[in-house]
Amino acid sequence: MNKVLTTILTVAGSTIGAAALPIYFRWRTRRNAKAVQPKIEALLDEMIALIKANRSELEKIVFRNELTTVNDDHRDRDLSINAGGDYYSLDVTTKLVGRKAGRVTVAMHRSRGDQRLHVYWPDISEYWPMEAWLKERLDRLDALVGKVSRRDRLNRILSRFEGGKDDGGTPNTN
Amino acid sequence: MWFLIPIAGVALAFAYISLAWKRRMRRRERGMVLGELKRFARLLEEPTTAMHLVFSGPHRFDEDRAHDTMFSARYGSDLLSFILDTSRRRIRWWILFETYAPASAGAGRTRRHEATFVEGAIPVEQIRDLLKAARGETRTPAPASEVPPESAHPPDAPVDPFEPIPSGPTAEA
Repeated sequence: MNKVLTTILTVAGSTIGAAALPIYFRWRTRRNAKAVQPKIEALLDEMIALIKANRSELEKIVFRNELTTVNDDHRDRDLSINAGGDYYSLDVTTKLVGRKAGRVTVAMHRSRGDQRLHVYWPDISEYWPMEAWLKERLDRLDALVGKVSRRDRLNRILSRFEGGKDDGGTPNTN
Repeated sequence: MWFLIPIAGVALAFAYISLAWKRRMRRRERGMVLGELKRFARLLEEPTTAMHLVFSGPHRFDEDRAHDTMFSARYGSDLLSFILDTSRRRIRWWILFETYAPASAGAGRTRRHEATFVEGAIPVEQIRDLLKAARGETRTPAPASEVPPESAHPPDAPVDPFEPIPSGPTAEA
């Protein structure tokens, strides 16, 4: 009887332990998302404030401003601004297909002097449903920035010169 | 022999948990390295920050012929190294991201992330930009203030559609 009981208890314990792992990962992601949320909010607010303060010269501070769909399975929103020596980059990736469709992951970087700040929400390579505070700020950013992009403008200008953009071939790395 | 069943159960659970844990850690490292790669590519595009990017390489060592450091990009205390890994009959990019503390703090390495990618799995456009910059092929765009307005440019000269296009040598990494 003891043998049977020991076997059942051990196997059940192992199964529960293995099944609890994804739950633990989700809990950790949720905990990290809550911890990082104020930082992301503050950084997005800083970006919004910078853009509002430089509305008349948006083309000078907004460098990369792109919305691209990659492999039909995720969409990348890229925004980088450079104002007053501060460099901000925002990278929002939205899953389009699969179990995580509609979920997002946000990566933000800020360079200020010799200080670097890297913040990921909810966590690195983790996807989480879009939340109201994030959507509101991203919408506000989109509305403020529009389609202004200094990178596109520079590329347009450079492409006029001889030997402008290359043919886009893959380099032979071997 | 009854004790083999619980032992096998525990071993299976342990193997599953360690595999899932390693997979998650690998995904995190990969995400982190890709993020840094994108950040370096962005810095390269930005005229005001591109000048602070320093490239070096390629470095090849006779002792280790399977790992060639194709180039390293340094921005402040961050170092991004691209190593072509040809060991075990495979071709992979081994990308190392390291952050060093300031020299006044003892010059110790404070952060290190690494990931390997099969060649097609990394953002090709960005690595191409970095490769070209490492080879010194990138033209630094003029600052916005020096760029003449688009309207000041004369229209492009007419192009002869039958003119032969000279083909250049294949790029070598």
